[in-house]
Amino acid sequence: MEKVIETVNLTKAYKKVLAVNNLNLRVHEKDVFGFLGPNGAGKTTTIKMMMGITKPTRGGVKILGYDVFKDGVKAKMQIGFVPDQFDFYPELNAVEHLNYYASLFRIPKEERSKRIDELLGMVGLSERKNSKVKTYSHGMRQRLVIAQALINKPKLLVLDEPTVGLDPKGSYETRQLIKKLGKEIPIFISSHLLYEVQEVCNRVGIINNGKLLRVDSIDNLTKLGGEINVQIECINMDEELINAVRGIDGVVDLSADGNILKAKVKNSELIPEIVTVITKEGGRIKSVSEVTLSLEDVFLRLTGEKNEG
Amino acid sequence: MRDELTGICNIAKKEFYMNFKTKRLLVIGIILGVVFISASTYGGILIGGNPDEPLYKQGPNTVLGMVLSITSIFPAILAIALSYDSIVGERVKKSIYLLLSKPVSRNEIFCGKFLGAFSSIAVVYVAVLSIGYICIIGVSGVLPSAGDVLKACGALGLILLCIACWAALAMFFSTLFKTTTSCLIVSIVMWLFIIPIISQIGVVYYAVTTNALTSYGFKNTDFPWYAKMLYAINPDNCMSAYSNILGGVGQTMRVLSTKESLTGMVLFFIVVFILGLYIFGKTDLD
Repeated sequence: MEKVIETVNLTKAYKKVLAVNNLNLRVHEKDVFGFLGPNGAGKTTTIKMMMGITKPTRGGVKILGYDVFKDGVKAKMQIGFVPDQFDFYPELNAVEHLNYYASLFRIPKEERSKRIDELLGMVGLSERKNSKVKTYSHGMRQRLVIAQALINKPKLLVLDEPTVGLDPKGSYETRQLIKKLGKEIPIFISSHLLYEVQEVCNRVGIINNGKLLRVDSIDNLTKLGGEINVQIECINMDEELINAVRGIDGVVDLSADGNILKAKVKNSELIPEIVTVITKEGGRIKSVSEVTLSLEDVFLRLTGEKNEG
Repeated sequence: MRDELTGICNIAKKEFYMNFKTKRLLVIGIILGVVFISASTYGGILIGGNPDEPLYKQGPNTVLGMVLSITSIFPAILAIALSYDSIVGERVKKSIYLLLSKPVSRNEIFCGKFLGAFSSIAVVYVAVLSIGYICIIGVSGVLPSAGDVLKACGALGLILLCIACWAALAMFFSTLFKTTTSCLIVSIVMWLFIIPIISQIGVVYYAVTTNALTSYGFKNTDFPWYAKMLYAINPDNCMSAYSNILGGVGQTMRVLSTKESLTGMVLFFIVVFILGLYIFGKTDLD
C-alpha cells in the first residue's frame, strides 16, 4: 500500500520543551487515521510540521511522496486542510472565500462556480453564501472551513479537531461526511474525542509528551494486552462462589457489583470453566458477555492516566 | 515562475479588493482627497486670472509642488496604515493557517500582499493627484505644456516609490512582531522619529563642524557623501525631490539631487523588501 504521510524522526523542540520527539509515522492510502493524544501531547505541532507551517528541529515529512519543506507547493496542491484554530476574512462572504482559495489552487474560473455551489450545498451554507463571514456562527464557520478543505478535490485530508465547537447535529453531520469521504480518500484526523475516532477511523496513533506510543488498528488496540473482560450476571452469588472463581488459573482480576461479576481472563477458553464453577457453587447464570476494551480504556492506559485493571 | 506570478496576482487581487471593502483606505483616502483638491483649487485661484503674477508664468506645476508639499505626510500614513498588519494581522487572527495550507510559497504571499497594498494606495493617489491637477488647470485657466505634464508624472512616480518604501518597511515589521499593536507603534516611531533623526545626523554634523549653516541657510549645497548617505535613508527626504522636478517649489534645503534621491529610495526599498521576504520565509508561524 502506498504511503500518503511519512514522518521520519520528526522532532520539534521549543527551548527546553520537546514538543515532538522522533516521530516515525506512516499513513497509507486506505487509512482513515486517528491521531490521539491529551492536550499538549504534540498533535497540532505535528500537523503544523506536516503542512509546512512550522519547521522541524530535526527529521522530515513526506506527503504523497513530496518532501513538505522542499516541494511544499506540489504537496499542498493535493491536500485539504482543516486547522484547529482559524479565522476567515470578516468582510468577505463564503463564495468570495472559496473563490479566493480556489484561485490559489489555480482552478479555472469556469470550474470554480460549479464546485463552490456543490460544496456550499454539501455543508449546508447555500442560503447564507452571500452573507459576510463576520455574521456567521461558529458552526457555520466550521462548515465553511470544511468546504474550503475540499475545494481542490484533495487526495489527502488533514483534519485537526474538525468537530470542535459544533452542536451535536453539526458534529454528527461532520462525522458522517468524514466517513463518506474516508471511503474515497485517505484522511488524517487529530482529535481528543475518542468516540469520534472510534466511529470514523480504522487506524489510530496515540501520542503523549511528543512520543508516539502506539499505532494500530482499532480492533487490535481494543484487544490490547491479550486479556479478555467477561461480564456475568448471576443470581445467588456469595463470597464462596467469588473465591472459587478467583481460584481458577488464568483469572487475572475479579470484582463483584450486586449481581454482576466482572472478570479479566487470559483467554476466552476459560469462560466455560468459569460458568461451570459458578453453577457448581449454586449460582444461577442469567447472562454471559465478553466485553472488549473501549478506545478510551486503551488511550488512558497507554497515556498512563489510568492504572492497569 | 508563471505559477508563482499567478499566485502573487491572486493574493494581490484579494488584498486590493479587501482594502477597498474596509474603512481604513476609504477614510484616509477621503481626507487626502479633500485636502489635496481644496489646496489645488485654492492654488488655482491664486495663480489664475492675472498673467502678470509670477506664479502664473510658472504654470500649474508650481501649485502642484506646493500641494504635494502640504500633503507630503500622506504617502507614509497610507502605506503604514495598509501594510502594518498584512502579515501579523493574519497571524493574530490565525487566518494565516488557511493561507499557508494552500499551494503558495511564503514569497508569493509576501509579494502578493505588498502588491495588493501598494496598488490600492497607488490607485487612490493617482486619482487624487489627477483630479487635483485638473482642478488647478480648470480654476487657474493656465494650460500646462506637454513637458509640465511629464514632470507632474515624474513627481507622481517619486511619490509612488516613497509609498513602496514605507509599505515595505511596515510589512517588514509585520513579519517581525507577534501583535498588530507593537507593529503599528514601531512602524510609526520609525517613520516619525528614528529614521528622520538618523537621516539628519550627517547634515547636522556637517553644519556644526564646518560652520556651513548661516542664518540664511547653508552657504553651499554641496554636502559631503556621509551627509547625503544618511539623508537618503529617509524616503520622505528622497521624495521631496519632486520639488526638483517641478521647479524647486516647496523645498527648503536641497541635500540630494533627483538621481541621488531616486537611488536612495530604490536601495531602501530593495533592502527592506528582501529583509522582509527573508524573515517571513524563516519565521516559525506557530
